[in-house]
Amino acid sequence: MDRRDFLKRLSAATATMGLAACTSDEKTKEIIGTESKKPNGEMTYRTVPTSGDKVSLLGYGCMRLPTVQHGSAREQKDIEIDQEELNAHVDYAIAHGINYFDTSPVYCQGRSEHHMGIALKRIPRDKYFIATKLSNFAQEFWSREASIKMYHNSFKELQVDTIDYMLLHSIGGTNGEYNSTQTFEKRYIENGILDFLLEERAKGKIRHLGFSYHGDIAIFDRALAMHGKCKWDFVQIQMNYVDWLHAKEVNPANTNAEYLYAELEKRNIPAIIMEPLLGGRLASTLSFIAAKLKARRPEDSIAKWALRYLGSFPNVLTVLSGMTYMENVKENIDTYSPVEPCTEEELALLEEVAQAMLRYPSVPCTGCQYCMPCPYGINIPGIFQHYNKCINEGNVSISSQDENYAEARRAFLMGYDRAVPKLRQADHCIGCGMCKSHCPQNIDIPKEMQRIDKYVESLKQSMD
Amino acid sequence: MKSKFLKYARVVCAVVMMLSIVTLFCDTTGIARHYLGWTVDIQFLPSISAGLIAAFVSTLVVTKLFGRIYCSVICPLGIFQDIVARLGRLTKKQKVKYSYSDEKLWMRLIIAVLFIASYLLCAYPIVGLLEPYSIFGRMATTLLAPVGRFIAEYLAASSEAAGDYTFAMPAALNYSYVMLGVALFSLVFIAILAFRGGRTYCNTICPVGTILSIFAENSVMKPVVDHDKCVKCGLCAKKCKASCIDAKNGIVDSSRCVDCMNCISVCHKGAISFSTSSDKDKTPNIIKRIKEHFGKAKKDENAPVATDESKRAFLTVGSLVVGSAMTKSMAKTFDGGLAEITEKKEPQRNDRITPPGSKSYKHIEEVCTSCGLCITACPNEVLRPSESLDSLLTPVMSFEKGYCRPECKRCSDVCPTGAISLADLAEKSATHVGHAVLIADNCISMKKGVSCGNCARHCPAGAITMAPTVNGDETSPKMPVIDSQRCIGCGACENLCPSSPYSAIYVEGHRVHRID
Repeated sequence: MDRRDFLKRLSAATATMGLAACTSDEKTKEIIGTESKKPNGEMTYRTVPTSGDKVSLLGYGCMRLPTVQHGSAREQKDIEIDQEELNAHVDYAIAHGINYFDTSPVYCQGRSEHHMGIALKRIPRDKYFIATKLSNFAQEFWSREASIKMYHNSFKELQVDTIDYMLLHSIGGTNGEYNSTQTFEKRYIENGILDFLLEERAKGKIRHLGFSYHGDIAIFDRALAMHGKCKWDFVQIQMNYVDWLHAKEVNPANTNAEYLYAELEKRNIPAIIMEPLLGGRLASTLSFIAAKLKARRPEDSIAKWALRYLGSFPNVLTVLSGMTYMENVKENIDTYSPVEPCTEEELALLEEVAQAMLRYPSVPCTGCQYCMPCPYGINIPGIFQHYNKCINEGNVSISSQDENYAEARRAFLMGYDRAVPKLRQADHCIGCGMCKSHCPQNIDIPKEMQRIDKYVESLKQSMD
Repeated sequence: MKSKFLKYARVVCAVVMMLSIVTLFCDTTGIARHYLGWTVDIQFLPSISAGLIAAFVSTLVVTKLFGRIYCSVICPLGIFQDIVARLGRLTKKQKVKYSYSDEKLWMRLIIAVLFIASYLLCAYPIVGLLEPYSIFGRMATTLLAPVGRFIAEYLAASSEAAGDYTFAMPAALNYSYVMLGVALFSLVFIAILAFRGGRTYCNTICPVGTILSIFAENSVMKPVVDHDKCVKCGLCAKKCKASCIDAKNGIVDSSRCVDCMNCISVCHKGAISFSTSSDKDKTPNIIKRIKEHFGKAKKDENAPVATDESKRAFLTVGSLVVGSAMTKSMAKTFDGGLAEITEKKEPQRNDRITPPGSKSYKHIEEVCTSCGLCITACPNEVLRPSESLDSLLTPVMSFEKGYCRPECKRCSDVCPTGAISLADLAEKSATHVGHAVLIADNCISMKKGVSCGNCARHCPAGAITMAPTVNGDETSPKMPVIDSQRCIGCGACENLCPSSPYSAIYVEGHRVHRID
């Protein structure tokens, strides 16, 4: 039986290779031209209830501006931002209907506002909305003077007279010895900054006032309780198909987007969405899940599903995406021009995908070997590499009811023994934690080892 | 034509049987037992021990009806001797000619009585050393199983190169040089006898052969000489590897005949047929033979051939054992950038650990014939033949390379004698084969002052909890506390303990397995 299988697969592989060689030529001949993704239609716009602004469903996030070294200015802290490339992004975005640009005084080591100012200066002011934040996180900015100075600096850097959307940046966080409530009060209440911003809005210097939220849910609730006084024009929240119902599993400090969204919808406050791809984790996924998504919509990328998901919510004003590369800009514009909301069935599929991803997250190990040698002889990168390989090849199963469970189980266990000798496998990790401080990715190696060990154990015990 | 058919049928059956049993011993996947397990279950002594009454009675009935077909097509050691004899005839310039010889009755009787007495008195090593299936089993375990492992490794490596997971890397075999010594001794001894005289072993030593010959001595059907056709040319006697045809008198001693059918196929005159015998051709029964034999015993000075051969064989075996032991100690492994792992050593156990399903020391000693099949089947590198005298070559457990996994009962699945027998995995997980013992000085909480807890984390019975080394101080390094009532003795803690070469926690066996 097994040998027959092996031979079958071997011949199938040979056949597909042959086929691929024959068909690739024909394909390029026929489909020339569609490669460059041109939007099918007009960008979708959503309206702000308080002002009537029509905002593009896709917003340009300015946290990951391109650098001259072809990376993102978020990671490449010392590398110059590529103004020319950024201008090209902005031009393309404007030409294809994007009108919302979201920056902050702290993005890209404080360079984001400056470069966005240069890029947007070339565009007529009525063609775009600029959003920035009062990012007075550090205690040195908690005084009224320092905060107001930061606020005025944003006008200067962005080279504008009015700011269309102003946010209290990331309420709900803590700072040093101050808990979330104290931090919120120090940043915005005690120094009168909130009142100041309300006045600025009344004067027309700020056209919309809102806040972005991460962390303690009590602060979110408190800010919404102030809605009567503040009349928030919008609120920015973290939302995607994983955070909708599983925010706590991603980060215990977070709250399900389902709750946040419902609270906003109740008060008719539009939601601006950040982390639509969960820090890039929803841009690529386990190949067996990807296969499910691809089977439904063969031409769609995994990221497109995540964006369409958010576009399906009517109270979402705009979805912010930090786009380092032009192809991201193009693809995302394509997704929202116009948006094709997910059907009920597709929403259910994405929930299934979310559960699968949480159950089997890959380990962000890059194989740098800094953790080695483990004093107990464990091959740490070898184990992670095998685990990730299996995840990506679809050999990590969700449940024993899966169609390919037996095969996946076999591939995982046999590959494990081949890749890592028994005495160097995860079950020998004693959790001493010597490796932990060496990991540049901050992976909690002992915890991951025990997770993988548990998975291996469950596979082994489900045999025969 | 018809006369040749019987021989060919015998050869085909024997080849199939031999290949099946060899496959069973070489299999590393555990698949073969599903299809071929019966081939060892029907072996004579295993069928008695396992209580397979149907198989045992069938063997006796078939022997009573048709003679010792068992010795020709079921017994792997018998088939092995036929192969050796066949090779002997191929390699020698002059074809070996067998000749009729008198029965070595006294020797057969002594060994058979010794065998039965040993079995009844539970003198286990004697039974295991004499029993033909187990003799073959030890040869297969030490000499063929490594070949099977090698093939499996090759297949695994090549399927890996193809990105395929059809073939698994096999578990290493726990090799025993004591077992190899015993196996080589019997191999050389029996092979020489077979090379020279065909089935000498079966008709002088083998106790199963002797027992079966009592049933075969007047079997309903047997090779019968038609005296009218026979010209007394003696060709049949020269071809008889059991040396049981007295061509001068035209008598076939059916108690020693192993139904190879060679005489029938070789006779030019068609004088021998496999048919019912007339009274005239009847072999005198065992009682008569004994009386007759001891009547002339005083004259008979024939010394047994075995002694000289065995001495020579022993020396050969001895030198081989020493040679392979030396190569092993010289081999070194290199691991590249990884930290070196100090190999674990087996701790000094006061009581050995026998596999779950073996019930007690007494049970395994009574029932196990030490064929080694369980050892070749163990996928976790746990089982190995005992090398201590009181339990020589029976399976014992140790956990340097792996531990007795909760999802596995392959040893019980393959065991033909019922020495290891588990109804299901639930029974296994409820069987306490031993209990863990802590050696506090080896624990890294004492040696290095760090908490580890790997034993507690992996204990399938939840028998280990970690407690602070300093009373009341929760922050002090933690050390395992063992609930020996809960411990089932699987060895996970011993195997996964970071302390090397001696683990800080090890298992002491139980003389009687507790099941709850």
